[in-house]
Amino acid sequence: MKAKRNSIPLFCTAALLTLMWSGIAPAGEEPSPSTKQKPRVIVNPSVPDTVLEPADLRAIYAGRKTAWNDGSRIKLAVLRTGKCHETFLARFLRKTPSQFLVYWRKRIFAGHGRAPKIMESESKMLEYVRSTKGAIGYLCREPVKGTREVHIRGTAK
Amino acid sequence: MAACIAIVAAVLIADPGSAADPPEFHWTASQGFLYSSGNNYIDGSGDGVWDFREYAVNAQYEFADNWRVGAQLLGREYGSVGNDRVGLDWALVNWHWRDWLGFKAGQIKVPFGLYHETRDMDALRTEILLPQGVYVEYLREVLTADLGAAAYGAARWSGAGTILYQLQAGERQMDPDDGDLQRLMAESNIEIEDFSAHKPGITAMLRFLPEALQGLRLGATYSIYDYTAEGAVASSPVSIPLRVEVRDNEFATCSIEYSLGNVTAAAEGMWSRYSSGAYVSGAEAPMAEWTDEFSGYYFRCGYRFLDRVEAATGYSYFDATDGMNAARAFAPGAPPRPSHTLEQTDIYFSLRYDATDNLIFKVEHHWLDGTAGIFEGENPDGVEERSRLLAMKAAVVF
Repeated sequence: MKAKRNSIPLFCTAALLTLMWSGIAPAGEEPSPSTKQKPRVIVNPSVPDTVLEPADLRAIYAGRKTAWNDGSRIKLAVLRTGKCHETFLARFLRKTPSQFLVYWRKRIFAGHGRAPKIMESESKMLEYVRSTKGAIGYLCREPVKGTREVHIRGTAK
Repeated sequence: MAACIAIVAAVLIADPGSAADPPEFHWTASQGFLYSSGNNYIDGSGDGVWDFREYAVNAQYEFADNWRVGAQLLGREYGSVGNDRVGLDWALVNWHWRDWLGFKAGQIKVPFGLYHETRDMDALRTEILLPQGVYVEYLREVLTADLGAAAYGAARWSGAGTILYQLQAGERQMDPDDGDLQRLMAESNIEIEDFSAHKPGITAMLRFLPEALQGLRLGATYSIYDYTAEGAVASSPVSIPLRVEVRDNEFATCSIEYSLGNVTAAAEGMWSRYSSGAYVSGAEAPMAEWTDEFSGYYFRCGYRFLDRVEAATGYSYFDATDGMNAARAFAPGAPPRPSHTLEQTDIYFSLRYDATDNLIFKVEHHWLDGTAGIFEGENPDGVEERSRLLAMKAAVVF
């Protein structure tokens, strides 16, 4: 049996290696979306915000920001699957679909919150956002009457 | 029961407001097989054991703006622990006043490290067994949930990042019948009949998500509480009632996790300490006093290399060289424990296949050196210093 190890320096080395490895990726670098589709973030016309910081969008889709600037509740919607969903997650949240799914399941099973509304298609997403006060969603086609596109600061219009 | 009453009362007195969504239900179940060479890693695993499963169902309902109630039932079988007894995992009423401050009351999971709160949900991670250097199975019992209240929130510092925090106080919920702590106490020849708390436990959690490096999570948790275990000396021909008072049982973790694309790496460290005194019932002077200290760490890396296939590998180390002192406190002349029973290193490799978003298969192999996580009581013929462990599991989640 080996001699007793000193845990703390070894843990610090492991933490430092993780941090150094994390530094390989330049800050703000986006994983390449697997599609040319450009997701648009849409909201219900009742939403007062017209521009969102990327960090705000990440906080909304992580369940950490739950109210708009006027205090009204954010109603979150996501697509179940598809290229538009993948591209949205990669471009704005830096997550893969499996990471996003596991993240929300952890919140649900730990008692931290309810799941976002899951939409089977972009048409249903559009209908939900149009008809639900405070709703936010995304799609890869032109928004239609009854919804409004929100600009994400730092991204091309 | 008290948690359930509080929740029902909150729903009854609340103003329904603009609540619209119906209650939401989720469930998960997993069934595994564990085979270990050389030792019984858990009871019976030396011959292969199917007593290795968890299942949970939860319901949540937003009954008014910013108000939510929910509860989860959990059953598990882990060798001789759990015995498929379904109990309340958590049940709470939550008031999310602002994003930076919310409150919850009821039976609340204890934050410990990054992954403890969902450790019983196999479908939510790559590995089958969480790294035992930090998520030590026989210490799980003392970190499950508090019956109490918590304040929590998330505050964003523009340009710097987001801080998540939680402070909770309550009576730690420990299972006197089928829990993990019985295995540890049995190793010291003590049979547990009941647990009670001296005073509320306090737990604090802090996490930081830097804006400049998305995907990075830094975290720390700390917990302290006291409790009393009522029981008896196990092997005595005459039953000797015994009371074990555990004071200032502290747990601390520090964590780092980074995700980039399909790769996630993490490292965590854990430290725990407590002082104990054993009293024959009615006596004021202890018949034995001792202090135990445990620590450990791990680092792991997972990579989803195909759309539905993920691999992970890790190294974990658990150090109990300053722990397991009860036996020597009861019998001062007893020889010291062999050093290999006080340490354990674990190198593992895991493979996860998501057949669908709801059905997951996993296989995992461990190379263990040391027997700190293996109990002599479950290995009456002695333990081998080095052993291997094969785990397989299927899980569903909805």
